[in-house]
Amino acid sequence: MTADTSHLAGRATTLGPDSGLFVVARPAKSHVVGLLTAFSGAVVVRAALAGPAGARSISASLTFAGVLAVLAIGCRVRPQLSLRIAAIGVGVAALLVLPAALHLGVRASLPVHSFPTWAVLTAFVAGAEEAFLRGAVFDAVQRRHSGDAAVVVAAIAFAALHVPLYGWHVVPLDFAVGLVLGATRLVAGTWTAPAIAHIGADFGGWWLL
Amino acid sequence: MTRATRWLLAALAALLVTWLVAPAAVPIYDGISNPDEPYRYVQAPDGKTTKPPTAAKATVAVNAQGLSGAAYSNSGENGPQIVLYIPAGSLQAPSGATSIQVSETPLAPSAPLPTDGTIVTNVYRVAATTSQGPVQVVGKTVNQIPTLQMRAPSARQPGPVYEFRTATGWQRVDTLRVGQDIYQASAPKFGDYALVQLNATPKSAGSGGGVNVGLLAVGIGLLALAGIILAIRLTRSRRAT
Repeated sequence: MTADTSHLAGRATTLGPDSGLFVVARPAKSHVVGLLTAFSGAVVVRAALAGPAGARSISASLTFAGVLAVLAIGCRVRPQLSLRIAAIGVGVAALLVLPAALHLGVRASLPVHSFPTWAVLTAFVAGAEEAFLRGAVFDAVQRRHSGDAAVVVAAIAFAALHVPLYGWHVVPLDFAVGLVLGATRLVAGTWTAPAIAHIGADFGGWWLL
Repeated sequence: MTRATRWLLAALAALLVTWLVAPAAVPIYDGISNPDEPYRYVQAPDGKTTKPPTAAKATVAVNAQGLSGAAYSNSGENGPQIVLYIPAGSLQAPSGATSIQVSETPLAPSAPLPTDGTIVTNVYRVAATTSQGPVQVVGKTVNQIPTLQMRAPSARQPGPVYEFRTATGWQRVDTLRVGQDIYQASAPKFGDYALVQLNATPKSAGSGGGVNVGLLAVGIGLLALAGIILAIRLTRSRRAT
């Protein structure tokens, strides 16, 4: 019996603009399939636990985020933070919120005292989504195929995860947001930047919408 | 310009185009949904005062045949107290009309009131007009006629049901609970709609709530399958190294 070494058929791969050129182990197709299957499972579990409460179900959202966080940690996804990464994340967050604010108007109608608790929970959920999608999944698809494929696959998954919560009509917008977050990952070279952008956009939504 | 920068510019352009051609109702971005602001009444129960509710208005484009395009009309509260979704081709404008103005205007409940329960929301008058005359709903199936979503003041269960004002009183409308306190119904006619808390609990009260055990089993099964796939992959990877 011979070992399956297809995943070690390494080739030159770039992991972001700062990383230069590396020869890295190419993950097996089953690795990508396993991650996407796990993601599907987490989405279904979230929908099942949430029921009609949808995205408002805190327990379902935390379960979902917990599963994604465990998977990301299992894939050895690590955060990176620098001034440049933070600036990219904050800048993209502003770009994500701007069209929403222009289109929907600024209402600022939500109670301020509820913000801190909501913010912590939302940051955990959004951060876990980014660690998994723009971290673990992005890494695997980028190494297996290309950065372009990674941006698109992660964006499709991002749009799909919202369907059970909000319906099919949000797919175009969430796919576009997913592309922006994926491109942010490419620019910054780490999932931390899209995580900052995602969390920042959510926070902006609280104050502006 | 690097490939990554080109990607970012292209994605931002896609986002702007999406906002222009396919805007979605709030909430938009993920996380945990924002809590709703307290319900706004025209005439609050027990004499309480609230912020005034907002009317929803939208202008819907029509094609050469006078049929409407797809559109949303949301009220301005967070979250909206009423949302009207108009599927493409559901409304027929009179000849010569270039657009349709749709509106949902909040009103205080007025006599005659429902006899089978109590109105717990504002009454919303759903209307569609053109400069050339009245508009007709021409969609035939559930997917082709306008859909209303209204937010109830609370998530209390059993929840309220839709009722529609007729010439002689109020008529119950098939109601689907689509959120914690969001209820949906088809709106094949323009007129007055409200959510009514029934005096007696109906035997079948919407879609219910709680955990969907069957779906949960499917999700856990998928996670288990993924665990097996990743475990096999990890084992092979270790053998190879």
